[in-house]
Amino acid sequence: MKTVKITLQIMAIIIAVLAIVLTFLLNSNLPIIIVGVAVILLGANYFIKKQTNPNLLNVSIVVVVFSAVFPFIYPLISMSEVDDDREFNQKIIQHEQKSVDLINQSVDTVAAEGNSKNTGTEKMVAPASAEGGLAAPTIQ
Amino acid sequence: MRNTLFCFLFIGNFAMSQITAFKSGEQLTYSTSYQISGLYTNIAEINLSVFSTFTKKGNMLKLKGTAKTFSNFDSFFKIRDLYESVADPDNLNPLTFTRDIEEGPYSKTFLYSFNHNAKIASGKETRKGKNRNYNVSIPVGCHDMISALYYVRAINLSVLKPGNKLILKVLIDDSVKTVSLNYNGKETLSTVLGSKSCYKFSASYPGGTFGTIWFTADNAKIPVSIEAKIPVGKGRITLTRAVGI
Repeated sequence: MKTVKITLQIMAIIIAVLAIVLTFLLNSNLPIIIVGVAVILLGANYFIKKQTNPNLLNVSIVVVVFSAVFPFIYPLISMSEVDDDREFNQKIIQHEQKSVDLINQSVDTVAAEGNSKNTGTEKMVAPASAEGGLAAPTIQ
Repeated sequence: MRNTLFCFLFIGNFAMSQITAFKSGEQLTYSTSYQISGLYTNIAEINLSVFSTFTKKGNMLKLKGTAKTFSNFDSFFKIRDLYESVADPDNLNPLTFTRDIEEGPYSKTFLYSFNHNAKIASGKETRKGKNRNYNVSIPVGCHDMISALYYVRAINLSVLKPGNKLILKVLIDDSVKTVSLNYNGKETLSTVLGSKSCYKFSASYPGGTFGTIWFTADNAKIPVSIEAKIPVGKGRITLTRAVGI
């Protein structure tokens, strides 16, 4: 019986530590929520019984309590940073150039045709309202 | 009749407005979090920026939105999304719109050019290495996903009454969707800019809802928070930094 109790205490510690490690690895509260609840239930079920190893009990309580409050602390201490993704940055620059090229092409087309009536730049930019400013929104 | 009169009153207030809500150089940074079991997990950063870009047509506004997952989350589900609109600075009519999304194994690219006089948007879609070209009929005042957001910021929202709906025509993928912003009144939010009175809107489209969005009730009308229900849990986008406002 004594062996079983100590084993459960050690299991509680291992699971709680695992939950904390998973939280770090995934930058997510999800693992610790699931495992933390399991640990608390396991711990609560076990700790209400008579203990035979007070030192291990104290350690178990500290670890389990820490695992329970960790999700609330972690967002405050976690580093939320994005990588400087060169490939993505390059893609953005290419898209920007494509957009400008597309607009410029329309202007060139008009110049080549020598007639801007209803084509080219005038096609691209139409005033949204009679005043040429912002269109009045549709309200219901 | 009363509704018609009401609309005319609104048009009178809106039509002559000039864009003072934002200017070139504005950069807004947001943190995107996912909520499950009452706890939020930060997963991505969103950036919205406004810059001038020179074209043969003149200086245009480049309205750009990017979304990137945080580095620790990349190995789990990597997101690299780009939304970019080049718009006329006078009326925010989009000239071109780019949508390049990479979300986990899923990716696709759209590039549109708008012809507002002919009421046509020419689109090119690239998905799984295959290209598809098509034309979409667009109504007057049609926006893309980014210019629509800035258009809402540019107009005068102070005349709205709770229960009013702003109706927007937005080109999403290969069709024009009617997006409805239902005004729910003002709420005070604690933001990175301090405690702010905000316009609260719930955004919806026929057959679904996008979520709730709060704009600061001042001249800048900065979107400070967005909440959306997702299949499991809830998503939240919160302003974390504002430069050039």
